[in-house]
Amino acid sequence: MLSDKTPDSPIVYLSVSSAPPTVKKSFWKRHKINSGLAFVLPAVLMYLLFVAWPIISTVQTSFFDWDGISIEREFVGFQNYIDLLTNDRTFRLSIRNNLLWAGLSITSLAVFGFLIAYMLNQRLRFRNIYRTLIFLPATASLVVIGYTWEFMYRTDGGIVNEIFKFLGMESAIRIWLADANVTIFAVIVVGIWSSLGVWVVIYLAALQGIPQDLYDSAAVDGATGFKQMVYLAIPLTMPTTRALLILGMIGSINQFGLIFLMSRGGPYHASEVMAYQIYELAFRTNHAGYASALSVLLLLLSAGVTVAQLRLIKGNFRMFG
Amino acid sequence: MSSKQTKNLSRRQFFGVAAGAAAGTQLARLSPLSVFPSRSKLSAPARQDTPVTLWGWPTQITRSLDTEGTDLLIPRVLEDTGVQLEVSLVDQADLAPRLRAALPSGTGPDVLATDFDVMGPYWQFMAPLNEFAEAEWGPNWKTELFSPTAVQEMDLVSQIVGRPDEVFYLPGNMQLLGWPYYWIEDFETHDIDVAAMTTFDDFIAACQKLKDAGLVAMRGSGHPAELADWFKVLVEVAAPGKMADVQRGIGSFTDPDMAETFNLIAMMYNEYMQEGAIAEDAGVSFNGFFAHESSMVYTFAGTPYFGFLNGDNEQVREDMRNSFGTFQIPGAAGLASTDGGMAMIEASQNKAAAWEFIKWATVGNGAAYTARDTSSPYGAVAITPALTGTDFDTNLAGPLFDALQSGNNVFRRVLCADVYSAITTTIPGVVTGQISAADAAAEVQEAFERNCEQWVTS
Repeated sequence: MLSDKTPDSPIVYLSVSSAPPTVKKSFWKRHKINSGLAFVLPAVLMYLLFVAWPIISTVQTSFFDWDGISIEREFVGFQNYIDLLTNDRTFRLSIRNNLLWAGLSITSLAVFGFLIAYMLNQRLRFRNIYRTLIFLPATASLVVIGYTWEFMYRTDGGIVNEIFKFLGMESAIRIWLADANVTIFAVIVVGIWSSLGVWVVIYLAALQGIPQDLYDSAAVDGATGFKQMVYLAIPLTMPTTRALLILGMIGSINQFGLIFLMSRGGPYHASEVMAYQIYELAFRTNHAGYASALSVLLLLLSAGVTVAQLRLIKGNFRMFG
Repeated sequence: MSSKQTKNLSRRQFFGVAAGAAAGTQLARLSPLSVFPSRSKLSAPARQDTPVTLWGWPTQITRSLDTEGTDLLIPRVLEDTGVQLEVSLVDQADLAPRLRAALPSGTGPDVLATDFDVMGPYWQFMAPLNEFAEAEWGPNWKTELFSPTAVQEMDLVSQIVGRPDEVFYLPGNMQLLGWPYYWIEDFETHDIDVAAMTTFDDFIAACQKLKDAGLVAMRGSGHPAELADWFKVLVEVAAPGKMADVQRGIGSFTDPDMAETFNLIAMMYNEYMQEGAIAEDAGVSFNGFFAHESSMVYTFAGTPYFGFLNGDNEQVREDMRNSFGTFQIPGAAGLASTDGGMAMIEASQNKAAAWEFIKWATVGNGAAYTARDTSSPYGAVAITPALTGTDFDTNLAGPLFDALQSGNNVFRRVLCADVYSAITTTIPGVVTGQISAADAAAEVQEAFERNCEQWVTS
């Protein structure tokens, strides 16, 4: 029924039609598209293109004998995996070196990183200068670090051997980058040196997150110095330690740069790690199928280690404090 | 509205469909009916107005040094040909990975300075040059323009590619293997006469004499090219002429005399070089020799003097003319071969301009500049080096020119990239005592049989 009131009245205007009010549907709703998914679509597409697709492609390639260049390739089933696991001395050496890297570097970084951070968390004179010096290597490019240490490790005139000579420790002098028993350790030391600053800073942040009240209470209870560190600081920074362990483990498994820069995996594979072996196989000797199989194993290993560690941690995982 | 009415795509479905699409695309590539274009369809018509890109490793042909070591490659090319050149050089050890990443996907440069040690699988991406050359110089251009050794190598590459009637590069500067530098002063002081060294034992005796005098007889490095050079030289001492045979499938790298090559190399590195030579950087090795920390140097002996006569260090330039000498290691057959050639990438979209640059660098002004300023011989017979009357001219130039004319040297080359890689990987293993010479030889032979035998012997 029409009203007598003037059309200026909004009430009248709205009541003109007796039909139920219609709300215009948006493009998204008309096409039944979940807008949330649409917003993440670009990121998902990027992920699929640059992460999922290469992984699928690598898995697929791992079943072929292929040089990575020719159009023809031969399907060999699991042969690449069988050869890797049963007949490849270099693969076993790589695994050993990766484990060495992980064990030595993570242990050293956790121990020294925490201790240095604990010291730098005390009231020290020139504390900020020490912090800066400790963190400085972490700001340097890996290439600079690699070439500098390669120079320092020179047998003839390198500063490392010169220091040993100066200290009268001739027996410690080594051919650092050409001795099969020593090279991997020489490179691991550089890895530890270059990462220490980051671990220290993260531990420092965690330590600064511990309320002063807890230290005061501990002091009232008679815990000072060493006991405060063992019974207070270490347990309270444990979530940070766990996070660092996972990151350190993944970093160790994927280690490539320093090996490439300093030893090229030599002498004769003695310092080769899995990522470097993949590079050699895929890009220098053109065994793309075999390298893909190794990549898949590396992926599974990384995923397995991460899942195992996450299960051990069971959610008790945080980076800072 | 109920969820039944909207029927939204769930996250699980969304990711499932997307992952399936990615997997399906990959699987589709396997199909013989694949819609993906083949590599041969990637070529496009020439475009003259864009710069010509050059990739290579730092060697004579990828630079154009004046007499004081300033690189004038780009301005000289522009001035002489009107071609704007863009140069991208990588270390020789990184060249293969770079080619591997670029060429199969149809990308890369217009021109490649070829390094024969790593080119094996990449020749197939080079454009045949016959059409360009015949249009420029007529049907007999190969033998009219280039020395017999250079032609022999061009033909060998064509056979390896499986297209024997086509040419895939033009040869640039040439090299001889087996020629160390030495400090003349050291040899005179210790009464070592290079002319009197006629056997490999004489050479070792000279090394021992220098060592006994407290000197480092020779400096060396662990650079793959240097290791391969040592192999190519000393294989002629241990097993003369067999390098050609084993690469034809006659005999084997595991034959005792072939395997002995590894022991000779290990002896040189462990007895007569500086400690840790096998891990030394090539530049550091050279600088040590220039600083008189050793009596000889054999790093990149494949190019014994080219590049230092007009290097950018004045003292080195001076020493090259007055203080250093060179001689052929007795027993080494002195392989004469192309140090660097110029090839055109098949996928280049700038072929006409690329050809202009290739001509300039191999038979034109570019080659003439380098021959004049470094005394470097070229594959092109018309390019005559300007000899400067040094010890190098006396000892090296004559034999090199003879070898360029006589040919018959090509099979001392390592023809297959996998064998090259196996040799340069196993030598450090023998030098550091991780494996025996027999183990190393077995690994090289295995690489040959697995990846090279079929196409090299054919």
